[in-house]
Amino acid sequence: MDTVLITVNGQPVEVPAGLTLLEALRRQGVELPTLCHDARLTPYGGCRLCVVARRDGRPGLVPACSTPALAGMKIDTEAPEVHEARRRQLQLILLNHRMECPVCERTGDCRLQDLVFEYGGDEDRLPFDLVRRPRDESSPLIVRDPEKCILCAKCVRLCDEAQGVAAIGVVGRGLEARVTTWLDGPLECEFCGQCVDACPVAALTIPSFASALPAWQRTAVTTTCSFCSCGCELTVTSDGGERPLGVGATPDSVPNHGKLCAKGRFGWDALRHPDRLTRPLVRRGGRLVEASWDEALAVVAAGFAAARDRGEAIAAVGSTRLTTEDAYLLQRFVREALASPHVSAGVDPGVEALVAGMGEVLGAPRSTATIADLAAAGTILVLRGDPGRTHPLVKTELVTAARRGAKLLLAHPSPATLSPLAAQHLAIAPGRAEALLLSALEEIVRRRGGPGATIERADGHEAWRLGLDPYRPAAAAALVGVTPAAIGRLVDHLEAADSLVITVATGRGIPGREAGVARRAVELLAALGLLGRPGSGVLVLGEKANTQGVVLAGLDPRLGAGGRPLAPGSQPGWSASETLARAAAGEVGALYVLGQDPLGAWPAGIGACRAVENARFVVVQDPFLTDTGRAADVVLPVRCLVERDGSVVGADGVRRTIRQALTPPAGLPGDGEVVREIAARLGHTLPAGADLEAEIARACEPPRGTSGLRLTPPPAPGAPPAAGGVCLDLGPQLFHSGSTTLRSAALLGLAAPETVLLAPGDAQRLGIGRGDTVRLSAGGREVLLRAEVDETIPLGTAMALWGGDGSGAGRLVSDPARSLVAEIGRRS
Amino acid sequence: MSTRPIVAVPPEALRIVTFDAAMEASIAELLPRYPTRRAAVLPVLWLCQERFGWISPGVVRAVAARLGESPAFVEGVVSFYTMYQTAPPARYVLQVCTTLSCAWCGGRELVAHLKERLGISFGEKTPDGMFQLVGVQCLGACGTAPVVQINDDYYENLDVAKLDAILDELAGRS
Ligand code: SF4
Ligand code: SF4
Ligand code: SF4
Ligand code: FES
Ligand code: FES
Repeated sequence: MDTVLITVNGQPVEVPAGLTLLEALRRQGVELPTLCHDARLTPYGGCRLCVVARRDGRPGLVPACSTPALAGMKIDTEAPEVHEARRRQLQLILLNHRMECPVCERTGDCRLQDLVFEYGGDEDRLPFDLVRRPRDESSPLIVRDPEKCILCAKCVRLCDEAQGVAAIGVVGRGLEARVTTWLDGPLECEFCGQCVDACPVAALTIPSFASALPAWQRTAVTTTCSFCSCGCELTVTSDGGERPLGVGATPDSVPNHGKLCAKGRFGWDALRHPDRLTRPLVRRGGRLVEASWDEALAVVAAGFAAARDRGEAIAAVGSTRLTTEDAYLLQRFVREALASPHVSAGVDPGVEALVAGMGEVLGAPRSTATIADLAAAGTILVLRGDPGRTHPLVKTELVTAARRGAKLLLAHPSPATLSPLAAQHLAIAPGRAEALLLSALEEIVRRRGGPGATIERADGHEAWRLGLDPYRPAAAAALVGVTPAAIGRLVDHLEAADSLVITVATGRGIPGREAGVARRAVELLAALGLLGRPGSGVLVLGEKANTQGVVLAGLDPRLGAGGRPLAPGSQPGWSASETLARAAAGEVGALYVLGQDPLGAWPAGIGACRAVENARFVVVQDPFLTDTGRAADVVLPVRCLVERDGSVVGADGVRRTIRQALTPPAGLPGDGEVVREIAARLGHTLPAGADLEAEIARACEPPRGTSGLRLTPPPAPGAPPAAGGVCLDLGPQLFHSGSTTLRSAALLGLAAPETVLLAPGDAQRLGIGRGDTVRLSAGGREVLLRAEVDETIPLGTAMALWGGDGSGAGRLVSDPARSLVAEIGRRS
Repeated sequence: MSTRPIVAVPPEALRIVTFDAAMEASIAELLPRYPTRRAAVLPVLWLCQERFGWISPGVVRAVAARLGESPAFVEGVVSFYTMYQTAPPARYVLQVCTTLSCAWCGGRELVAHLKERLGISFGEKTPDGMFQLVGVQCLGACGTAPVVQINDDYYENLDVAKLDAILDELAGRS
């Protein structure tokens, strides 16, 4: 590494070349005061607090944050004139700042207050009348107080540079300058709260976190977010665990670098929803009544034992929101104590993409790229779902990547949040990502006169090659919904890539077979000669926090712990949907449902209703009283993830600790503790402590070496969807991801999960206007949704935004693998 | 001199702005000259001001959409530069230099005369929408002070009589 020699306060030091003075000094352990600096952003030089004096012949004070460290520079950071300059600068800032520390909500946690305390500046205030500007309380969740704003523009720059939204700007200049939205309207944005986190003063605040408790009496716990699989590190500040008084992340948090989304920031009020259970419920005389833990566990143990002794099938359906430890204990409990192979993580597309996708093609049910790889990738192909809605952190990483020059290729039916930054946006028909990849593969193989060495080494490559034929772009483009030329351009981009990360978003309702998409993505890398190359790979984005972790814990009927194959001779158990089908047929003696609501939330076609009715004994374990819970024999209340200690494994395969940040109501136990207690009552001891940790650590270890590529012949192309109705694309909505968010008043206030976006042409043809209630029907089911007309939606398709879990158009889905054609009409 | 008058499109007609083929062609010609689309915000706004006379909120929205920026960002740019008009301007915008050289060479008299003749102060328009008066800092033509910029043209070495003749001509021509 090149270095330069500079002198700091009389000491010669060698620093890496290419740094700013501020960065160079910080690496030497010399701290400088800053108000507008943020390591994640381009230097701004707005506050002038970081000034240092030059002692190398060039007179004057320079802002360290925006001055490059050059060889021979001599710097004094503590000279009297430096301190005086800082004091004066603070004086100027205070000129137009409503200083009222004793009653201010940021007191004790304010950069400006700290700096004034250190350098002065408030003792001889200049005569000046504050420019009066009212507090802006017009936005949900975030309040702006312009009289406190010091115009450091961190909020504006983060919203633009890191978040890619730019919902706010600095408008006007001089004393007129202020931070505001366009035309001073209420915020219309992603409500990620980054701006609030970055604000050094009390100009941006979150009223729902307001509290009289002073900053120094609050507790702070750093844990991992439990909403999606991005694995963001976050810090929950609270009054001893009762109520969150702030949710933030530090700029050096990994993998999120201080970024969070609306769910992670605001969604925690869901934990105090009235559906939250505090005591076990047991069915007596046809009604669910409260019972003690001892009674309830006795009933459960007796029910399981009875089914086991009668030789009836017992099946457990867990969830991808269990901790890795709890998932591991659950599968051991079912397989060993109940001697049943029927254990799964529910109907979860992320699990399918990992197990049936990555596991099938590469032998290990894991992603082969990480979120960190996005920062260096030359080309990124974004498949299934708009990460701007499904995986907010990934979206921000893609924004940063595109701005640094990475090529973004998007395949998504309607323009996504990232479209303006994309090198190419393929507006494919809903559910056609796999067909697009097969088409691209056909083109590549034909252009190159063969599939390349990696694929030719794999078994069955001739059949695979033959299966590609019908996907020749000229023939398949109509099915995919784009032109052959567009597929050609995509292949041009792909062939030019020296590193390629393919993201495969998963979320319930996103149409198309996620496992197929994951497999084809791997085949595409292989055909391009990029398979296994560092920096290239497939990143499967699970919907829930621990999709990857529960798979590695072995909570899947097809796999053991570590994603290893089942012991020789043992048959795979039932998947979650098969479990329900068997239960509906009366073949299940005991059904144990954890963190899932098949009745209220699963695709209607699965037939949860009859399953719950016909299973002889149903136990539901959940933080909330769900529809399935209401129909169960016993309901066991448990902690939510944020109330739990343990670990989750993010989409990037990194195992991260979660720590109890909020106190569970009524001292509730965690899922694993309940499972362990039931096992004990059945005379079975599950591993604990260091033993358990060693087993989990082994399960989560990265695989050693890679097994070869296993090709799956392409399916025969389906027919393009019939004309007539609109082809429905179901997308998760940024602010919702299922049962938890749907119970958060804060998030429901941002968006109702019952919206459908229509193309202007279709809206006109059907006589539907913005805000109308419309009826969507498909497969004999129907839902009412609120219509929005959106010019970005292609004619003949509609985008239903849903909140996951049985809300909105999700209720129409019977088979997520098939594109959904729905009839739309005005409500009669 | 034949200073062209500004023809400002009325606000009602600039509420929703779509660029026609000619405008799109000019933008397409302009974009390759800049390293990023963001860098083209200023010139595209300038194109719009030439075309519409001013930058309405509708124009901000259209420019933002065309360049993949947010309206808040474009608004920040527009509000930073004094040369973007954010309300329909008069047909002739008189930017009178008020800086030292001009002030000493008769600029003060020009300002006083203009205010009296037009009956308006800095920042205002005549009721007939013909003239608008703006006080500006050094126009960079100190050698030929005093200077008034009318729309895109410089009028130099002025005195009250010359200025009157110019205004008469402009007022008569319209
Ligand atoms: S923002 Fe900071 S400096 Fe200003 S009043 Fe509040 S605590 Fe004091
Ligand atoms: S909440 Fe996020 S998207 Fe909204 S203004 Fe703040 S930084 Fe921008
Ligand atoms: S609102 Fe806060 S972060 Fe934004 S410019 Fe003002 S002081 Fe800085
Ligand atoms: S931190 Fe350097 S100018 Fe603000
Ligand atoms: S002082 Fe008027 S042009 Fe320079």
